[in-house]
Amino acid sequence: MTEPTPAPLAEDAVVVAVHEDAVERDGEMLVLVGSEVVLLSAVATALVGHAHEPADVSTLATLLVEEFGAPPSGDPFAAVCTLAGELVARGVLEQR
Amino acid sequence: MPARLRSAFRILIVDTEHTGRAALAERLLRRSLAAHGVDAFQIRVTSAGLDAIDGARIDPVAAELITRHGGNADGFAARSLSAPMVAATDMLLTGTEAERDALVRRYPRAARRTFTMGELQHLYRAVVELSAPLREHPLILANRRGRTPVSPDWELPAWDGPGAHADAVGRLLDESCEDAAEIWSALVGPSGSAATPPSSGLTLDVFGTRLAVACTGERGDDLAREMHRVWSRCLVSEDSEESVPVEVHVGGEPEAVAAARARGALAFPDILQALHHFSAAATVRGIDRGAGSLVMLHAAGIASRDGDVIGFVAPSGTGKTTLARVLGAHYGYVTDETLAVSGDRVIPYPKPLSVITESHQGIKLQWSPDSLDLARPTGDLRLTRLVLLDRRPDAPTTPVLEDVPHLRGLAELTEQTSYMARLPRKLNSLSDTVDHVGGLTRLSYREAVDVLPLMPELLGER
Repeated sequence: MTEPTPAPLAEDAVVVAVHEDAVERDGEMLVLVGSEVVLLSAVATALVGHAHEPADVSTLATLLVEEFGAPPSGDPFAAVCTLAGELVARGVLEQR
Repeated sequence: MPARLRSAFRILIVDTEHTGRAALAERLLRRSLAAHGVDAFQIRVTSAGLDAIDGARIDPVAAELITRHGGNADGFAARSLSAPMVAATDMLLTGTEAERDALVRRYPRAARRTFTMGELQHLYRAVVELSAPLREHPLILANRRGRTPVSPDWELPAWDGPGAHADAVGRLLDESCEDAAEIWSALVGPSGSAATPPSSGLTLDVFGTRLAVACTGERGDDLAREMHRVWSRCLVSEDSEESVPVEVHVGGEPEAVAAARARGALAFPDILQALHHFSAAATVRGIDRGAGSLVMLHAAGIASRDGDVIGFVAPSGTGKTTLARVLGAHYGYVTDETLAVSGDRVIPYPKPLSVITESHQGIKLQWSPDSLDLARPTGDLRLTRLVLLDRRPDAPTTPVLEDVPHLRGLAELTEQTSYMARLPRKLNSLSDTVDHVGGLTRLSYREAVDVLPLMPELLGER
């Protein structure tokens, strides 16, 4: 069974990091959510780092583009909306 | 009830491949000794092969002969002879002079403890009265052999499949095992387990947690006797106020079983089921008590002679017990299921091993590490390596070791850690453990025996 793809968030959706514990190594992060762990890519790690205080997705997208540059194809804002949606679905972020 | 610590007289039967004659001799001698009221705490009989493949199955011809002569072929696995096995043995027996000579060439210091079975029978018959403790017999018999070279009446015939030779091997071993058991049974003290149960209760150490186990019900005494046997390495003498009480009830009317369950006992219709389920229950109680203070991994633990422990991490049912058994023939058996770590210290949990047995339609029975003759680890144990096991039929024929990136490995290890979220620093506690052992390694392999040659490398010995 494949898991359903989480819905992307809107650009004005406000999110905050809620994981219980994390270990960072080489720009990536392993976070503990309940009894499960989630391994985050470098971009997701940066996103979660910027969301320690509530922030809207478009602000987070701007910060990530500054940090990593725009993705080679597609809209960077749409990509961050999708990523934030996945992180909310995994319980790493919470939508306010 | 204090655990019995006196050591058994140890007999090791050696042939070449350890799937035929030595297996047959081991089981027939065990049969004869048991029939004479001698238990494994008095005389322990094991076997090995000069050129055995560790973990190889018993030859079906030998298994049939064992059964035909009233023995039990269950739970057998071949193992290769090693120096520590020889050093720990009081008397070594072979079926032929060629194997005796090969053994002595390899281990010269064992010469005066090594006899062919025919030679042994001849020497005992030549000595009218041998009123010396059993432990002194090898030297007395070797001295006699030295003074008057003996010509044994028989050697075991070649092992070449079913037929007249195999039948002859069975008959000769049957007779010589009976003869030996008759002589030896008169010389050892009274059996501690055969006649009376040691106690209807026992105390077990489950990585630091004391379980005070009460065996009750119609077959409570029988259960207690079996528990003492299979949990031999976890028995502790002292109870304490901190002990966790566990009642295990076996047998009787359904009403009695129901009443036992109602008062919180583990209750079962028969001993095999009780032993099977108790093993999991004991482990879980230890894990519950260790939550928050111990790193508890789903891992087999194997120790070097210096006390360096390798944790082989894998989910249940993926080969940890088989690996622990094969490696435990040569390295210290720490545990086969739950590896408990405090800082860098490993707390041993040498529980019984679940082994599939031929005579019970493939049901897993609990085997004491003593019955399987697994090596005992010595001294303080330190965790020095963590290996993620990847056993699959399509793995390379030669096992492959590779480093696993820290977070990726930590994510896998988390899934094999009990109560990780209760550790003081949660993920960081586990991460510290991984850092302490220098990171995680993945081992891809097909069969447990393939891992044996890697042990020196895994232990950093080369």
